[in-house]
Amino acid sequence: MQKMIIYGYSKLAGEVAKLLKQKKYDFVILSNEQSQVQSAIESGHNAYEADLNDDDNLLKAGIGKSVSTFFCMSDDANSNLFITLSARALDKKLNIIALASNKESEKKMLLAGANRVFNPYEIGAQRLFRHMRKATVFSVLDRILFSSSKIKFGEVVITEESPFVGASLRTLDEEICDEILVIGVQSTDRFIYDTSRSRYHIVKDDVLVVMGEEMYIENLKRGDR
Amino acid sequence: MDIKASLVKFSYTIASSKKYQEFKAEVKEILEDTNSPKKRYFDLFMIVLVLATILILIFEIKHNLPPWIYAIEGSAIAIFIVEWLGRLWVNSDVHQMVIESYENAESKNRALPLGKLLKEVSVKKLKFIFSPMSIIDLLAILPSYRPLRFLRFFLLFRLFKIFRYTQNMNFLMKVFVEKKFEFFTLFILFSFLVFFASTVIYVFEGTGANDNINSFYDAIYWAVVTITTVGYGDISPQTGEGRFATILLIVSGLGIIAFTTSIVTTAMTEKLAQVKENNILSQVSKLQNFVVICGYGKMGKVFAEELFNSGEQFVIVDIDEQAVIRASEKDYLALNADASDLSVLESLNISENAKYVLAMTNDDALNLSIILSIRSINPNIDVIARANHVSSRKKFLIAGAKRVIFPYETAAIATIEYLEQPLAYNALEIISQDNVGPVTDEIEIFLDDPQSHREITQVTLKKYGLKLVGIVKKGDGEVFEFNPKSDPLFVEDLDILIVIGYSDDIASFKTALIKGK
Repeated sequence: MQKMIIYGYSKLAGEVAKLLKQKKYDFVILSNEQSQVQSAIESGHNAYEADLNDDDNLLKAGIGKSVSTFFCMSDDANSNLFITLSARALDKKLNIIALASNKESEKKMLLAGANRVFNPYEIGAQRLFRHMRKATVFSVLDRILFSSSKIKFGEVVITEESPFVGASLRTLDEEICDEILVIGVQSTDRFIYDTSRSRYHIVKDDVLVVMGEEMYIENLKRGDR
Repeated sequence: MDIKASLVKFSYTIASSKKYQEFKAEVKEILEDTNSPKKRYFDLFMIVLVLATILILIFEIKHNLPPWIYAIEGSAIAIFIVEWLGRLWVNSDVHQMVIESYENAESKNRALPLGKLLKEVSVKKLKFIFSPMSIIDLLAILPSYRPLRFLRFFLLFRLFKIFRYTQNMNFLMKVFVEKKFEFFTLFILFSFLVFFASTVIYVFEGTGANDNINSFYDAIYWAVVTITTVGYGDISPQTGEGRFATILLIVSGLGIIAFTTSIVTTAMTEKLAQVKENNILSQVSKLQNFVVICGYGKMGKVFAEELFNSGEQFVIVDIDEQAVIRASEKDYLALNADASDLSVLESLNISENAKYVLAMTNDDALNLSIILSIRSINPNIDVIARANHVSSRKKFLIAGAKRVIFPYETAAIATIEYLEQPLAYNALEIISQDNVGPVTDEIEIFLDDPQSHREITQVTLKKYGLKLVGIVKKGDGEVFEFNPKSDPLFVEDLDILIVIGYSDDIASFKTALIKGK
């Protein structure tokens, strides 16, 4: 069974653990501090003490084998960085999600090999701000995206054989079936929204960002229109 | 008897006259309201006028000036007089005093105490007339009156009038008032030394040993010139005793100068911070619909950035000087003050102009205090607070915060969203960026008749280059209709369209909707 490891029991780690438990994920909390392990166990989580600065312990915990996702969320930024780097070296495919508390350490974390870095203060402020400015947009998107709704976002990678290579982004909607809504294209360096003003033509390796029911998105990925 | 009755009647007429009240309020605003832009223009005009009359004064010493110049001076003085009378007028409301005194007397079944009233009124007005600023005004006007021509020197007092029109100058003047104890001590010491030294020199050299010291006044003049280290040298000591007194005087003079300088410098630096603060407050007073960020920490910083990028106006309040410096470096308006202090919040004019207030400090007790302070000023202002502990959230809501954010939980939710649907998460990130190009936005439909509906054709949407993501139907419960393809679309009152497009296109589409096209 694939499992998850949360390293460290910071405030963010605690909240993540709470949600994971709610959603019935299989996870274990590791920390090199006895007190943190203690409080994690008190909150009803599966936790034990381990010093992951040592590669052997990482391997023992299952990195490189059964672990699919690794939350690197201790309070010590340097230790997070070190462990992220070690974990990435052991497993190229591991999904590493790390904690950072400022922009600088965010960048370093990404360099060290984290898939995604979360800065609680930044995300907190950004989400709050968005919800205040465009309340409906985000509550609707949140609801349809992160609930059981059938509508999902999809990313379609444009390969050489794709029928869309060379197509104008502007007229793409008419070429694709009605049930799919094209939001835009992620080209190598920027994201281009699909509006009637865009002059962009699709090239190989672009990624189409679309919304729609999963079935239609799957069809689109196969190259059907 | 008749005088009293007509006085009371007249007062009531004035009190009930809207025009009179409005006019007086207007004059008062121009003369006294430091936040009013009108006062700023008026002050500028007066400064120019003062400088013009001073220039005339200087030029007339060596030149024969044409008569029209004097006409200008005359009219300038007329304006000064009107200004002073205006100040005298708006300084207090006499009719109010008459009415109060009348009603007071009436309730006690007595006649209006005219004598007492007159005394009260004149005390108030005299108090204004003899206030320092009024005296300066008067000294600037009076010498223009021919019989008082010998007072021409006082025309220079017009220069002091300028202080009246510059707020910051006023602040620096206050330095002297606030440090009056230090200055007084210094003055006593100074006088003592001068008196001592001039007595010594007068006793030893006034008897004929020194040709230049003929009176005690000469001795005092010499002492002052020496103690201030100016030392013209027109009077110099001739005897050994005199020289000894000079040495003492020079050495102590150095001390006094150093002492004075340090008092003035420290007081000035203290005041400069206030002048700076005042400057920020006056900038804030020009803002409409601004956001107040209390606490420029990790979250406040992100918020300021987002607000800045979206072109909204905001002011940062933080008690930590370093934080304020960091914010100022980014050209944000930042005030170094305690955000939970009612007087600070009031000076920002939050109750009238603020859109909402963010309590973003990392101290929950302080955030709570900010929420309560704002609520006590104006309960209608939304306060959004940051909770640093889960347990604070409830308390903040009880205190009246509109929204409470617990950053760790929000981030945890985001983490799980990313874990489960990385694609959707990334797409949402892209959509929520407010870049220069197209944006995702919402358009709320307002119809005059809530029962009616409106048709929007796909062609119209195309015309404005808008892509419709969906419609939130407010009808019965919120229903989201994704990617509607019907043509034309039927929209009802309070429906919300979610569209992708350029912001100016969205804006013109909104205008078109309102106009009913």
